[in-house]
Amino acid sequence: MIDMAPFTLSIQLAAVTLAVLLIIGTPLAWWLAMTRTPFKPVVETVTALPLVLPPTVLGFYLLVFLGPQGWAGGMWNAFFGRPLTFTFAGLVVASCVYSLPFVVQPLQGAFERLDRRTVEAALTLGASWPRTFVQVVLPQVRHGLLTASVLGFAHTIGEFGVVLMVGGNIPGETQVLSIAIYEHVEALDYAAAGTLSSILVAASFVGLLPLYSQARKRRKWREVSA
Amino acid sequence: MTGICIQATHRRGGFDLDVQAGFSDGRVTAILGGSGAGKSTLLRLVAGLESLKTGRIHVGGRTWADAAAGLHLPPQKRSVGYVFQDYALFDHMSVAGNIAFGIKGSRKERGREASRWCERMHLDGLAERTPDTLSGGQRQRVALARALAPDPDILLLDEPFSAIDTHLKRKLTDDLKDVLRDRPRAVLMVTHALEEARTVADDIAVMAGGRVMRLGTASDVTDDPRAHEVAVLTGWRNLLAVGWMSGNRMGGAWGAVDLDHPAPVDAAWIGIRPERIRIESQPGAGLPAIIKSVRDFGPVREAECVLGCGATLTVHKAWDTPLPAPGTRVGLVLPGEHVRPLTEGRAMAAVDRCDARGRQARA
Repeated sequence: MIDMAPFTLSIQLAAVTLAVLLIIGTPLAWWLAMTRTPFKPVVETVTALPLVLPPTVLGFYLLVFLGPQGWAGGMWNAFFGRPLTFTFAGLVVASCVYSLPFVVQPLQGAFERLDRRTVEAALTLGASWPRTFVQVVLPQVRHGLLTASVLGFAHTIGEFGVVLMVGGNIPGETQVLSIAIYEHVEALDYAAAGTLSSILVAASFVGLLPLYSQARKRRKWREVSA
Repeated sequence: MTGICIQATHRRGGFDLDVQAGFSDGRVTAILGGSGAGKSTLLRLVAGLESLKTGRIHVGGRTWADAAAGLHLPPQKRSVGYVFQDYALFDHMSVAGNIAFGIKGSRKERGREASRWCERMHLDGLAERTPDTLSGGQRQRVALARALAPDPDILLLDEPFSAIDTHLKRKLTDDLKDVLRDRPRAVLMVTHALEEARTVADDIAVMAGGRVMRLGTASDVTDDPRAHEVAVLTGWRNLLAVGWMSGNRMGGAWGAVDLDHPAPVDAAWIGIRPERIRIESQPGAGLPAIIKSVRDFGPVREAECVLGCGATLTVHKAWDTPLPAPGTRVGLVLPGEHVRPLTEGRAMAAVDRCDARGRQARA
């Protein structure tokens, strides 16, 4: 019988990471889309770094940063009385950094394509900022939001290097799906590795399919209305 | 109720706006100008979508913005009906949802009010459609209904006809005039088309280079533009540079005319409407000219005449008026009562109809 704990842990990690990223990433993406500051390219580059850095490099810095001697790890330890590395919370922080560009970039693109005059129209009609955001902005960026969510979620499920560096391989605590597969292969248990891998492939397919059928529908709709 | 009083400067990316103007309640003012004149920026300042560098804006006796006091009411607090260029409708909502967006009250009241507006703007039957399935004229009416439904203090229209086919414009300008007729409040409409301005507006404000060059009733402004720039924007095609003047007599390389009153000392041009020029076939009468071409434009017969100095004057007559053939030497008579002296423009002070407390002195 295959242990499903790594699968559940991966889903949990991806869900929590996505929730945190949407909360942090949405205002960041909005700011990047609207700002006229000359520092915008700098912030954009920093946000995009996780795309190009090898996961081990990112994982190394995160390990140092989140470790007991690190700035964030030390603060966490002082506050909660336990370390951040090799825990689920540590994995969430690391995954957020790792998957940040996958959430921020689609959202930023969606905000940039937004018809800003509709926002201004809502404001002149007396709508508050929160109401404008919920009723006017969100419906217009829903496709970007969906893309950001699917990519952010899927990317977190698939991470390996960063998780291994920061979380290690503790079954039930930090042993996510990709690491469990690696361990099964190391132990030459190809059957178990194959089963987990096929679950991952199937889940990714099911996750991405709605995204691309959405895009197809939108294209079709556009052709009809044009 | 005292209309809109603006005394403001604004700066963005090298463009300066410096406006002093008062717009009365119950009147529709067309803001006329070329692109880059600052027309839309003026509307955005009034709506609170841009902030002032200096000066203040009063509407209906309330202060909406005062740079010196650091006051800048956000757009939500200003009570502005704003019809954007291309309308900026919410395409993800129904027509009724668009119109109800700014209305206060319970869901039921908003729904009732929205359907009343649908009926009033001839949108019945379209309430549940989304705006992207409507025609240009229908979209314009949705935008108007959405802006008017919350009963705003003022109404701002930014190029309301830019997305409308030419053949529909005439009917829609008439419709708009009907909708605006009962408005007790001030209405500002940005346009670059003189025809729209004359059809819809009571007053015309001509803007150029970020300033209001002339503000007055539509007929005053178009009949007596006073400044060269204003004349160009209000469709005056016959403009001649003035080289000298003596009493009522003004002249240049093209010859001379006698006005029926002394010209202002800073007059640098004269202008005359094409339909006011008389063509004389006897030599010696008026300015000597040669007819270059004669063409018919619907009910108007237009003759292009070249003066001795090379300047061209356009003459309009009724389509059935016989005109000399091209190449004929004629005399052009410019009757003094129809010749308008024009200043260079920039130096002319903008009309200031606001006193220090922002109240408006009706000119």
